[in-house]
Amino acid sequence: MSLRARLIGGTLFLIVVLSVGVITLLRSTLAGRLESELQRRGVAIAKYIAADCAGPLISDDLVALQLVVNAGVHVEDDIAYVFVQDPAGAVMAHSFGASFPVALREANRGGADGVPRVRRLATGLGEIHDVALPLVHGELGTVRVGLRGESIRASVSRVLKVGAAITIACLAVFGAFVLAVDIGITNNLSRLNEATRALGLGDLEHRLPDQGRGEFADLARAFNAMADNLQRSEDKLVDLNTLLLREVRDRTRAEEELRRSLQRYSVLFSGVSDGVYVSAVGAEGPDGRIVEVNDAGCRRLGYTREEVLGMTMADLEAPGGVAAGGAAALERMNAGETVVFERVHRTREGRRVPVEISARLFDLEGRHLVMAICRDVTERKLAEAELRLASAELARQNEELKKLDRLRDGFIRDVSHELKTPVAKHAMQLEILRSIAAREGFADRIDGVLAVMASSVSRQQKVIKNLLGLARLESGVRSYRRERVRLDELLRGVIADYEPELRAREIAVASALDPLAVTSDGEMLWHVFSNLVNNAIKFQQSPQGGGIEVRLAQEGGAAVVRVRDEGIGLEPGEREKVFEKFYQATASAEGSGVGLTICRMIVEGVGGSIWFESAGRGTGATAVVSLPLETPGETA
Amino acid sequence: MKTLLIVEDDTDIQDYYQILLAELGVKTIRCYNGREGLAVIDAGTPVDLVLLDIVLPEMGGEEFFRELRVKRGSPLPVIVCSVDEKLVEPLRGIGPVQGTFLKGDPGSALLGLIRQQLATQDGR
Repeated sequence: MSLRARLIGGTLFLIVVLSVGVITLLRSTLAGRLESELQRRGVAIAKYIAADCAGPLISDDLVALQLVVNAGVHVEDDIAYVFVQDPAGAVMAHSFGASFPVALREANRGGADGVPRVRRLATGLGEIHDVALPLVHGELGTVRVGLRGESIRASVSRVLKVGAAITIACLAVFGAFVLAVDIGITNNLSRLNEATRALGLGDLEHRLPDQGRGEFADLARAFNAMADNLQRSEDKLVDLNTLLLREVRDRTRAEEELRRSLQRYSVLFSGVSDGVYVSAVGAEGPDGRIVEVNDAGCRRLGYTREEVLGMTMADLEAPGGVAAGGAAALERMNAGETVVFERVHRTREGRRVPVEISARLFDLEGRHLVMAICRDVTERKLAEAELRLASAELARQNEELKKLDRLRDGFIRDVSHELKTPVAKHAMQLEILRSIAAREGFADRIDGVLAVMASSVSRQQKVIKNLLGLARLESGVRSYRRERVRLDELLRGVIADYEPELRAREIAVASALDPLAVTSDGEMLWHVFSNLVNNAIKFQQSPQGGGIEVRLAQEGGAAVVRVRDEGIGLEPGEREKVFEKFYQATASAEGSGVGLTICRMIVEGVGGSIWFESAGRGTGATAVVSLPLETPGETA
Repeated sequence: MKTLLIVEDDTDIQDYYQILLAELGVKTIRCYNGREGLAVIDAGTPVDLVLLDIVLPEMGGEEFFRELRVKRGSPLPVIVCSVDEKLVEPLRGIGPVQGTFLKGDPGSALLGLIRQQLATQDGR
């Protein structure tokens, strides 16, 4: 039941109960008092009447008695009757008028000791308080007075009414008061209740207004403080929770990664095609028991996993192997190195397998372990052996080639020297002879002979030079240089070189040389143009006279040199043949016949081209050399 | 009088040099290989110029030249005489060569070189 109901109900109930109690008490007390009051009055009246009756009684005057009785009835309003009884109880006078209710006579009687007695009677006249007053101890008779009880009742009911009214008023007042108080309380309580419920449902923002003083304000403040605390705690919890969640997530992720990497590792480990053995570190060295091995490690030697796990690394080796310094190896492994060494393992069937082992130390859960990766190097060993053989063979061949090279170089050098020396000596001797002849005066006699000899020597020299030059070029002894060569200056130089001969043979020389430069081998080009000019001189139609024309001009992206002679010319078929080795246009021509071959080799070697133009025999010929210009229009 | 050291194994060529040098009025010492040449120099004989052949028995011109220039640090003028230009090149890498004469070329060329060298010496 709610507080309100209880309070109000209780209050009202209390009030009602109290009222009823009070009223009842009042009623009875009042009634009693009133009754006794009435009775006293009744007695008093009876006595009064009795006093008047005494005389008549004594004188037995019934009429006077009746008068007294009649007078007596009207003394008070509420006297219902008055009558007098003789000592025998017979009614001597009464106020009833017509008939006297007989029953009344014995209804009451006075006390034996003369004390009046009052008795309540229920008669046809209503409630009567009958007073019996004995006169002279009853000897004279008894005066009987009947008082109506209504007045009592009326008073009582009046009091009751007042009481009820008061009760009701109290009820109202107190009820209102209680209601007011209750409302105050209940409102606060319900607010508190609401707040608490809200708090209970999780709304930590809820606060109560906490102004003022009094229990509810204190309660409100306490509530607010509690809510604050709760909220702080909740916030802290939320933070902690977030942290926790994050940690859990991180841990889950780490676990996941670990799982994945473990998986990867196990895949790798089992999938590696080399044998991987993990062994404990033994007392003297890394030859402890094998504690883990991958598939390849078992398969390659034909053992089962169980078999391998019961062996040490040494057990895998074939007998007769080299027991290399295990202690030294362990030391290096302790330093963190990966030690690589070779061994020979033995398969289950006894086949020998050369292996290369790379081993390193690592710690796992406090244990020192050695991980050894064993790679079958049979193939490699074979390949190495073959390689060594091939290498040796190659070296031998290289030596042979070098020897040949040296021989050839030496040959060329020797030939060069051996050919040139006698020729040089000829020249020297001729010089001496000439000077002696001049001194002794027979120079003119031997002049012709000397001239022939000189020319012969000269030819020899040229031939040797050409041959050797060709040999050198062919053997690659000399590579073409790359330098800036002013072709116009080079050609001028070549022409100047031949000037004595040209003058001697009265050959007219014309030149039109544009200033052009190329990046090429100057020395070799000199040989080429010198050769061409020499040929131009050589193939003149007559020993005297004739002409040579040298032109140099840019044509397109090339520098083109044209050496034109008025010589014997070339047939169409000969124009290419002249470049062949040892080709002679005419039998009597001087020269070794290798000049043009060398010229072509050089010209083409520096990236140009050389050819002859001729209209035919007897019309002269033009030697044309085309050399690429680096940048078009490269001028001096 | 200037002294020329001729290092040449061919006696005919030695003779040629001799005849050629006659008009210069110089003294000549003839050696047949590099070792003999070094012996002459080491003996303290005053030499003003060397005519050096390359292809020699026992000790060739290149080795002689190396001994001279590198080992002894001698600035003694050397004119290299050879039939082949190619053979002279290595010497240029070892030290300064004061002249080159190709055997078979006119003797006047050699004379010119020698005169030039001796004149330079006198001028100093």
